[in-house]
Amino acid sequence: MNRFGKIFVVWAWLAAAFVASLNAQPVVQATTNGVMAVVASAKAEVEAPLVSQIAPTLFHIGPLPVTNSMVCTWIVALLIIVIVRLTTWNMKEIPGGGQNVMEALIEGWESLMGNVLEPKVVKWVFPFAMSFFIFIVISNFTDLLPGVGSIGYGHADKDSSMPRAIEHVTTPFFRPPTTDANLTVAMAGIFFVMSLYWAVKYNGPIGLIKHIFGVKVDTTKWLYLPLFLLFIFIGVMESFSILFIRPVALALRLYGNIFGGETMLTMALSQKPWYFAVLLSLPGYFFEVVVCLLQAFVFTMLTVAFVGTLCTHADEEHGH
Amino acid sequence: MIETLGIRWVELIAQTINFSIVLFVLWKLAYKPVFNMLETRRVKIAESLANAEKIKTQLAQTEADRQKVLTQAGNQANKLIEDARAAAARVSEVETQKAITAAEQIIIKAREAAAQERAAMLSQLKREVGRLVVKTTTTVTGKILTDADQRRLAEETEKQLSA
Repeated sequence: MNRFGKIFVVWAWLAAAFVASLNAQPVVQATTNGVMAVVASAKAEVEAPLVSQIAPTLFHIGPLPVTNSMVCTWIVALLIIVIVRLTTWNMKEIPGGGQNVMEALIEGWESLMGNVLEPKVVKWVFPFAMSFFIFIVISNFTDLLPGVGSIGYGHADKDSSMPRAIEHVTTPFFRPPTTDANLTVAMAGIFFVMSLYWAVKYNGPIGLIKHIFGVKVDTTKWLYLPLFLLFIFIGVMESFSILFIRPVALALRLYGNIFGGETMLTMALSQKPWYFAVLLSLPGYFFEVVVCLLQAFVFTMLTVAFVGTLCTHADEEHGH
Repeated sequence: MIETLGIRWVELIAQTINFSIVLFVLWKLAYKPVFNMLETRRVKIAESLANAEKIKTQLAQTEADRQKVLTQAGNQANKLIEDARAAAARVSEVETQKAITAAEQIIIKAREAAAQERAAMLSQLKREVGRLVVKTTTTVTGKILTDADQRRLAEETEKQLSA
């Protein structure tokens, strides 16, 4: 199949999904009539997504609703603390095993960031970017663990001979932390606040405004006014990007990719017969391994790149 | 969209705190000790390299000193040999001169001794000849010569012999 054929198939599939969702809506919305309400309820249960967009609450600690993704976040945090403690509690000048891996990881990332940022900016950004990477990678990989998303409360499977068998898990006990928008938004929020702080620290308040809105090219006085207006317009766009687009893109890209992967794997595994499920999910698992690593890398490198655009004098130097 | 994604303030703050704890733990337990260790190692490597450079310089200096000492020793040895040769030549010259002088002295003394001996022999010969002349004259003439005659004869004989 050539390239245009593939594009046509994808668009046809998307159009079919859209039409199907339009057809389903009146059934779900018809809740005013008594009998129809029962039918609608049943339909809604049947057509409910296999993986909910919202992390379900398991229990409450005071006013805090503890969701399954939060439980998984704590487990991931604990795992990170244990691994880090084991690898760095007895640091030696000639490193072995875990210390070697930790040093290589940290040194590698510091060197990678050194290619994009100035040394003093690397010092500020490194702990955050590195933590994003480690935390996101481990969180993403929980997506592939057996039991995550598949053990929990749900509709009993009456056909199964196994006791307490569930046909469809509606409230899993564990959910990959990065499939909860609260976490990705929290991380993007932390980055947003810190990036603004670093930008002000690096440029100064006036310097930052000049950095965003200033004319960044050499020009004659006749061209200065139109260029000034142009750069004001670019600055407004840039501000909009810094304040809204970047944090939202960071948060939703990660959430969407990992949530999509989780949904894809769950759908594949819920197929019948079982060998069809295995056949369908196996490539998905390999694909997800790459996605999990890639998304952690993309999130981290984007934070570095965004800080790089804010904490640099390259354009001013070029302009002068 | 916020509701669709299930974003709620309480959970958002809780997840912010969760990540902040992870960040703090990683900073305290991972980055700080690893950076300290890397810095320690970097300093040690720099010190080792500096020491190696220092040792290399010292080695070069020592080698140069050794060469210098060897050259000096060679020069001194050559000088000593030259001096010794010169001294030997001087001593040889002096000794030769001494020997020549001594030989000359010996020769002079020998000549003197020979001359003295010759003179003594000549004198003795003269006296003997004079005595023989007197005896011969006495024997031939049968005359007893006086002391004055004997003296005159001896003087004439000596005069003729000297001539």
